[in-house]
Amino acid sequence: MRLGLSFLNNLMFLPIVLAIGIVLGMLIAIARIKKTPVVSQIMILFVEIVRGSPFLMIVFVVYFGLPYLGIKFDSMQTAVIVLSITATAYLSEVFRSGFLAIDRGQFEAADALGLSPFNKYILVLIPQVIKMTMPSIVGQLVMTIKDTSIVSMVGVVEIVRTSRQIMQITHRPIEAFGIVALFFVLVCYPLISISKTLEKRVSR
Amino acid sequence: MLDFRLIGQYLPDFFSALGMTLKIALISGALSLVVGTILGMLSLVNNKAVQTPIKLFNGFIRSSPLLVQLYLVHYGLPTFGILLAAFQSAIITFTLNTGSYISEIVRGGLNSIDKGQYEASKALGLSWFKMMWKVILPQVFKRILPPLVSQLSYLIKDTSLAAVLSIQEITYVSRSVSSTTYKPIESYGVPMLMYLIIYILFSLLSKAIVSSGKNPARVKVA
Amino acid sequence: MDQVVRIRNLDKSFGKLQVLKKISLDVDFGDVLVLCGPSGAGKSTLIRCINLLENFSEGSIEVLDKNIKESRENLKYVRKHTGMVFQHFNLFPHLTVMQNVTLAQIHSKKMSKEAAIENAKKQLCQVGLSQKYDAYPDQLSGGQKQRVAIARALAMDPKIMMFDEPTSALDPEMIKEVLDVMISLARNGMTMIIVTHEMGFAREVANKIGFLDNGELLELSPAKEFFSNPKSERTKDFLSKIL
Repeated sequence: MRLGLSFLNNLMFLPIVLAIGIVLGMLIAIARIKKTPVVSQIMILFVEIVRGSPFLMIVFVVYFGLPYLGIKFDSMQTAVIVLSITATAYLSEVFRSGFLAIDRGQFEAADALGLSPFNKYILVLIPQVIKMTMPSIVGQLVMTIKDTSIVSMVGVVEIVRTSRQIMQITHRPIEAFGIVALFFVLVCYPLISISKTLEKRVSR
Repeated sequence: MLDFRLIGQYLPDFFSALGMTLKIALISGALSLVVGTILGMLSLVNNKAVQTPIKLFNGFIRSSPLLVQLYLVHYGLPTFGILLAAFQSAIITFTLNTGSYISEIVRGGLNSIDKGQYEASKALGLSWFKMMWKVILPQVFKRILPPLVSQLSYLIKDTSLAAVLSIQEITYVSRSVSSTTYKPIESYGVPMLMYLIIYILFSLLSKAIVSSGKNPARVKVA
Repeated sequence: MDQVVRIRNLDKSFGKLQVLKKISLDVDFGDVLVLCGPSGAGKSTLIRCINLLENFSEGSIEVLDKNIKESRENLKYVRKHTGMVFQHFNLFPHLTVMQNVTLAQIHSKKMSKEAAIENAKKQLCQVGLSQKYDAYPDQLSGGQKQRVAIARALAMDPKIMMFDEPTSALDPEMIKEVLDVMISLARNGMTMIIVTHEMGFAREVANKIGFLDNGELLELSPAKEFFSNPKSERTKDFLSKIL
């Protein structure tokens, strides 16, 4: 029972993390394909550093490392921040390849019709990218859900942490962790199936 | 600026942590290749009794967090009487996890081979084993090399979770150095650099493989 | 042993669709049998049943006096002593021409590497490709690939060669080089079953022609008779469209 409730804590992160991830990820992707001088270089650095580092490592850096530099985040804030940066970095790559996959002609037609850059992206390009990359977006959603388990390491009260506590009291690890696994599977497996179905539709 | 003397002082620790990370990655990597190839090839068998457990296994691995899998192995197995050291639990978990992903990659590779290759081999009287070993698998591995390399890159990052079991790999050591020295930039900077260098090396390797794929690497056979 | 191949009452279905209906035919030593007919008639399926690349539900097939469904050993024997050439060549892309031709000799017939190479050189020379031992399939033209495929099958010293639309995937200018190889094989006495649309080739080389339509073997006659005096209406119809 307690486990069920604490799983909600895991899921709670999702809306905001995903929102940030999609918006910022999209912005970064656009900055990179436009090759804006300084900005895109910094973005590339950011994305590659995040993609190249283990999630747990980034969590430690933010939670344990930053305080020595004067920036203190509590565990919840750390969780939101790290989950968001991770989602942003990976989604920016997804969107970037999405943009590259769109026919050049779309860009040209939009320009020829005199659309402002803002409109061009909002009305023509972004909708196509999102439709094309839906499977990967769902995939990232799954990744984020699984990553929420790791924030338990810095004290966030979520399902994995709760289960550890339960295990210590009851000494029944299989039940404790098994149920945890089950919760995740019940959420993630359907999402993965949806992602696969979407993939088949898109490739038509 | 950066306290280089401090870095120098702890360099040995960082390097032995790197050694541990690589050790875990290499052992799990090699084992998961074996596991993954076997599971992937089993997917060719049309028997439901074979397919269902494999599908369940793969579904479970992909739908649950690696951390939870680690706990299940390390804390769960003892209830069946199997006591494992942290290192062993880590290896087992990573092997099963990466092995599952690799089996999907291998399965995709096998499905991508033209049916005609199987037919020509059979028509020439080759045994199933020889057909797989000399004709099908060489072609599969050439095709799946890029995703395989990516998977190994993920494995390196996965090893950081071994820190949860107090294994002295890079992530764990970075934290302990940081809490001892109170100097986060140096303590986390060096390990981060290590991970990033490994990541960059893998990316370069991947690019090299893809471009040599245009002039396919040839296989020595017969 | 009089016949190389004996097919009796062969039935085969893909799901609900019956593609072969009670087919019976014999192939004698030295025969060059051409199977023709409209697309989808079952010609390829029939030929692929002979070495059990396709399974069948009713009937029997004996090759070199061995019932191919009776035992694994029988099937192995048959596959080692029959050669097949495919429409899409099916060369092994990761191996050189030489390796393609020697692979089955070494691993299926258990020949020594030296003997296999010697034999391979002979076969490749006969199909006109002695310059290409170390080339890879993707460096060859379609006609060259098919000739390598023929050499690969011949290297097994088969008692019968089966061709499944060998020129259908080739550009027109390359069809002749492959047909020439097949003609010289026939002239040298090789027993052959050929599924093809090339009726000019059939007229030159075949001694028997079989016509399949809708899974039925409507006619099986000596070549001359087939062209001059076709028995069924559908055969006449087909011939008038082709020739």
